Amino acid sequence: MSILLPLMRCASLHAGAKAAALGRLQRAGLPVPDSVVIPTGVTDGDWPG
Amino acid sequence: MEEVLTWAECRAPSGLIARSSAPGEDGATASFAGLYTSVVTPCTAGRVLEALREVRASASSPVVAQYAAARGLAPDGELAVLVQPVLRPALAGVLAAVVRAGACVGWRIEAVRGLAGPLVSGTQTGEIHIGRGPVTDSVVPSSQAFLPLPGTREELELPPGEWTTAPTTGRAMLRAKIAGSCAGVLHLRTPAEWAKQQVLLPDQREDLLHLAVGAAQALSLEQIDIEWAITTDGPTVLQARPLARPVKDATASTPPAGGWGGLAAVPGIATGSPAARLGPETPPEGAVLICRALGLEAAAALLGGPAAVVSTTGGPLSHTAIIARELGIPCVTNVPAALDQIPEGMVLEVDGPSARPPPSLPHARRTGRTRTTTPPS
Repeated sequence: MSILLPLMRCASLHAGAKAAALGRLQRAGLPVPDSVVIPTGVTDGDWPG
Repeated sequence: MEEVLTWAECRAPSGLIARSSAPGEDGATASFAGLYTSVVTPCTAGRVLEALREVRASASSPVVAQYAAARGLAPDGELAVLVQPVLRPALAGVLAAVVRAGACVGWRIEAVRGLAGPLVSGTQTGEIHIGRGPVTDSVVPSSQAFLPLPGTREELELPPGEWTTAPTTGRAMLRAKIAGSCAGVLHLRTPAEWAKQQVLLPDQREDLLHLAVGAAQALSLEQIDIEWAITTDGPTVLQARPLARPVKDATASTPPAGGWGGLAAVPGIATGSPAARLGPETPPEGAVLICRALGLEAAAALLGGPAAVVSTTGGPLSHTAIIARELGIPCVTNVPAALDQIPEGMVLEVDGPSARPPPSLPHARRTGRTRTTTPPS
């Protein structure tokens, strides 16, 4: 299962305010950079290898 | 980590930028502007992991805790990390606007060529556009000696003095000389053809104002602050957040007799305080802080309770000017001679966009200027 959140699915609880705002802009059709989010709670131990 | 690198493959020829995304940042009354770390990194596993750690670690930095306390908030403790390809923009900057009935009724744009990093960190003053509705009231030019751009691996290996292609918004290609590079960022000398040209053109300004309206509507905001970039593909919103405090009266002023002029990032009057340079020691509470750039060090010093801030560079939309506005600390930026000419210990009167010794206080208060006197013996 993927650790990364696509911007489209970002909510402020786990993705933070900046990513959530960009996600809303993307859903509204505004140009934003292609982005992914590593949500809160992910630690170095969650990265295999 | 492989997942990030796989995602970045084909998307990020000039590397990635890892940025903070904390639950409590970019709020309606507290922005945390510039207090968390952003890191530009090449797409290699070790460097990306290092960048993610650095961004996450900034959640527990002392300055974040101090700022949160000053704003009556609990620090977030942990944050998400936003990972984006580094763009190679022709122009970039910040836009602050009040949006009503589908139009920007009051707005201010600061623009630079290349990446906006120096503009938001206060080391470069951008070209300033100010207007109301469809009317542009003023355009204040700025001089920009270097263009910061993300470099490709090949460019970063070139020695200073070599040439490469600078990004433009049209089809024309323009060559620029490499001045050097640092941490994956290439610094090009601004081509002579651009030195006297306006940075942001009227049609580009219109596009940005339309974007601001769309963003404000999407986020249900009446006052918005946007970081933007313009690449060959057009304008892009890099970040959008509530404008915690609108910017007022940030026009350049003529220096008063015996004083210094600049840009009023935070209008207001502060008098009778000794001037103190930004240094390793925190300036005394109530001092007027004199600094070169409005960077993170200046943000930390702002939380120590200075009476006012005067900087040699930067503009009203730089991160630390935003923090000063939120804290209600009078702030004058872009006073080039501040460090050379204002002696430490001098009593300063900061009043809007300039400075001088104070015989005619009512006049100064009315016109928004900053003045100085020698300290009482």
